[in-house]
Amino acid sequence: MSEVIDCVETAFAEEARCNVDMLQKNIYTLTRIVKKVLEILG
Amino acid sequence: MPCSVIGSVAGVKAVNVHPDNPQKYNLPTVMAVIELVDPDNGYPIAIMDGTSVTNLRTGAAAGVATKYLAKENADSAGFIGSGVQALLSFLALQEIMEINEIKIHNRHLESSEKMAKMIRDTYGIDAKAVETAREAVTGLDVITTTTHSRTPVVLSKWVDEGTHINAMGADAPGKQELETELLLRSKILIDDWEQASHSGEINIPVEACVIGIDDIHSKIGDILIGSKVGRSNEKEITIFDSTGLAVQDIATAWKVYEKAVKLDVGLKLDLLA
Repeated sequence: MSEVIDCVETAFAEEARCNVDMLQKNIYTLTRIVKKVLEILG
Repeated sequence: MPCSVIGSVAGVKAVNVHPDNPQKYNLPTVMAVIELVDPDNGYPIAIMDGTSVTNLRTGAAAGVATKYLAKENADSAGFIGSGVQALLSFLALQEIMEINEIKIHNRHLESSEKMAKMIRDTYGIDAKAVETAREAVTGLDVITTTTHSRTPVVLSKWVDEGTHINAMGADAPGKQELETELLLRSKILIDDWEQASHSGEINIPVEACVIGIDDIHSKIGDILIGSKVGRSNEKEITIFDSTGLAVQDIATAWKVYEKAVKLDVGLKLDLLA
């Protein structure tokens, strides 16, 4: 488990340094925008 | 869940969440497959089980958060939930801290008793199954919640000053393990705002406009790289809202791949033949 902890620690750090590309985040953002637009449009 | 770390690793995880699976189909709620690819050219490098990787990296996240956020000399832990995720979180915690006391609560007492017995027998730690959630919270230094609850299972009045909480269970809109009042009196850390506000522990209060991005202290990664301070005193309550990032999966899977190559295990295939 200690090796996995090291991996995850590195993963969080790389994400914080903006070295990571994760499409999933963009999908959440897009979903939020579409929801907002639909709310505005009624 | 696709992910690449610049110049390092790349891959994608296909994963489901079907809460009725155990009862209806005798299958796990979460199942996953991971494909790793060469980040330079996309060449498929490995395909592996992603369910174990998901469980491992989620438990490890609780370990990382506890390492950076629990108060000094924390030596007791409470678990709400006693499934695979609770067990993996315990394994991570016992790497991070010296645990002298553990209390475990599950709606099904036999499940928490099973986990407590395993911990006592294997690790020699004083672990008890308790009948109420409150008993697994009050007076303990680190709390880890791993339930699928849609109503809070941890109330604010149960939580002592200085506690660190790993909120691991909420992974879909409508799920919430911690009372909103508890969130409001705590320092909240997340793994990612987009994911946490969509489906993490904070999703319901965010949807209700009770909590906003300004109420979030920082991402856990910002603490790790030193751009933000984690715990600032022994009295504050810290909460890590874990949703699980694709980069955790791919980084962990890459480690599995490297070990498999080193040990010469696995089935070699030429997928492009």
